[in-house]
Amino acid sequence: MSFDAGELRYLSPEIALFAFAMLVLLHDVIARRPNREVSLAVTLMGLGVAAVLNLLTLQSSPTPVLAFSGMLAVDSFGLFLNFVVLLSAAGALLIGHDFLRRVDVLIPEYNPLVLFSATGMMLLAGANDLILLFIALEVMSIALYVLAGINRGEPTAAEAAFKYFVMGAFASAILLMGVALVYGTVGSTELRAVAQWFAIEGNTLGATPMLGVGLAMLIVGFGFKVAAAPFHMWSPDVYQGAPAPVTAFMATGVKAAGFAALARVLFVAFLDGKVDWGGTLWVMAALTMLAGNIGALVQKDLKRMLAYSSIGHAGYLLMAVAAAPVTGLADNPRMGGILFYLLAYTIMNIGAFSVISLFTRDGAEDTRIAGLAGLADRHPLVAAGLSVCLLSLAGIPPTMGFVGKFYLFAAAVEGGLVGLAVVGAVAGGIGVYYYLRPIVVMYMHPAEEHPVAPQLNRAAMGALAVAVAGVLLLGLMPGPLVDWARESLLSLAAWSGT
Amino acid sequence: MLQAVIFYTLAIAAVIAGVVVVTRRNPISAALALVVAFFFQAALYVLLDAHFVAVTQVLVYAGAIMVLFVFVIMLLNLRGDQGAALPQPSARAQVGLAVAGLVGTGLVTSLDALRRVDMGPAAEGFGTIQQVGGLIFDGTYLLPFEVASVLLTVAMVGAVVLAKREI
Repeated sequence: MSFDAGELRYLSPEIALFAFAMLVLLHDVIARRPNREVSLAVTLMGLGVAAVLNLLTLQSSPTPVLAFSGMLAVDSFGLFLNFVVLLSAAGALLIGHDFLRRVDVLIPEYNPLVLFSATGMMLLAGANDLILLFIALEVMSIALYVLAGINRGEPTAAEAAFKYFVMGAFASAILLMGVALVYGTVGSTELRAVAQWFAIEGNTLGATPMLGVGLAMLIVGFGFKVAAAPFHMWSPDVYQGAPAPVTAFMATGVKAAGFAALARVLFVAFLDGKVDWGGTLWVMAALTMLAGNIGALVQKDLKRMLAYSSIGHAGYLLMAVAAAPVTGLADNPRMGGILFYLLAYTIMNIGAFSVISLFTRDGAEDTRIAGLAGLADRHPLVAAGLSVCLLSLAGIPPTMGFVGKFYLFAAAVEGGLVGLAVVGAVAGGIGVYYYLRPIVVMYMHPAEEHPVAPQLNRAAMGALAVAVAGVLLLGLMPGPLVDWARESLLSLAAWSGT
Repeated sequence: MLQAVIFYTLAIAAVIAGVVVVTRRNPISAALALVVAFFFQAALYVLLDAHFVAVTQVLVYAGAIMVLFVFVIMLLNLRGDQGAALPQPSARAQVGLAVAGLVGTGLVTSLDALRRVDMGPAAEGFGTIQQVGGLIFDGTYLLPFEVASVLLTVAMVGAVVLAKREI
């Protein structure tokens, strides 16, 4: 094995993102009065450059390639998710720009930290080796622990950051233990090596329980990261306590990167008739969908409600993942719904959080659902935007959320998991109720005596406009994107041969 | 035979040091006992020919992490007599113990099953500093190594953001 500098081009999006993060960091340190507009513009430029480089990589390597001695998989699965991560980061930056000024957290490191975290997420989406996967996961998580606690004066934010840190460190430790056990059995941390190990006659999970324990620990670790039941307890407190733009980033970017890593590990290394993790994921998916959607019913705070909704959405995604061992990847064309849904979820959540971020009063967030009363009269466009995003989250046509949910359920049914799909449908039905409640409050309830005035600003409004347009356009014309998502997911099959 | 004698001597010493860690009331004594446990563990690694892990153990655990522990203890100004009585195990602790027992059983079973798998001898020089260095710098693990430097940068920036008083 030797190092080939030419392979660096496969890493160009990540390198660009990191370089821009350092640039912004240095600008804010060197400039006597760091200009926030310049900082935001350069950061967004970094995201744009990374997106262009990502597109070039996608076009220049149509067939999946392994780079850096098999550490990094360059396939359209990872590159698709890179776009999702970049979108999520752009959303977090736009939402955060004015918000942080209002809550008086003028920390210039916010923008670079978002970029650092996004770098980790992109590496996580492409990691073909458990060692790189773990380090990328930590790059992503450590930046996020700091972002969650960036509002140090606010006790709830400090609590959220600490909770997130402790639970996250715990999850990372479990995941690392799982990596060690897999390595101990297989003798390699590369995902394909695990699949090859299973191909040898007589190598089964039954003969070496150590690998089974390792796989279980990997699933538990990822379960914590994507907030799947029964490992979801931390997420409502953390999502509610963290500043709105950070919550938006956590809910979308982490979910996309976490599911990318989970899907890659399970689909490349363990998608073999000898390992049946489908049953475990079946139970997890059912629990997650029910816990999220039922928990959301009684919430009075919009951020907390969306935290529970985020748990529910993790459940829908797990439902499709659980179908993979039954059908394999190639024979289940609906499986691409996982990627489509991750993109859809990112767009609609960014839209919802861009509205939530508007509600601050005297430097503190006020995200009570009751505070939305009468918003439709005062700011009809904002109310309409939030309504579209919520309807999409509920999965009502003609939105992107409906199309995504349709493919996830179809993937499960195709895999014969009809029972799970029924559980999902019940959970989704419950979900419609709580997504409609804020809309009812906005349009039908009279305003409070001293209503919270939404602090409209260009950056967040821009994010909302793009999100609403995306949700509606891609909901009406999902065809090309669905095809792209399906092909991207199929690129994983090149590694495992299933 | 000789190896077994050395192993059991070191292992028993490490366990004794570990027990001392959790039974001392004075936090400084507990911390120092932990250093002793770390050193015996490092010696065990040497016995396994895992030189790199042994050196890292001494440098990182016995060195850096212990200094951190002692710093925290001294900053908090803990004294032995302030230690509260050990809390009674609550219902939660019992659930925790049950889960820990379950995981522990799983680990022990899987380790036991491992004996039946023929792993073959490790390659010549496995775990030596030379080979670890080779693996990192000849390109095999170069990417994770470089990403680790990104991780350190992020951690440093993050620590400054969270800890500095005036922004």
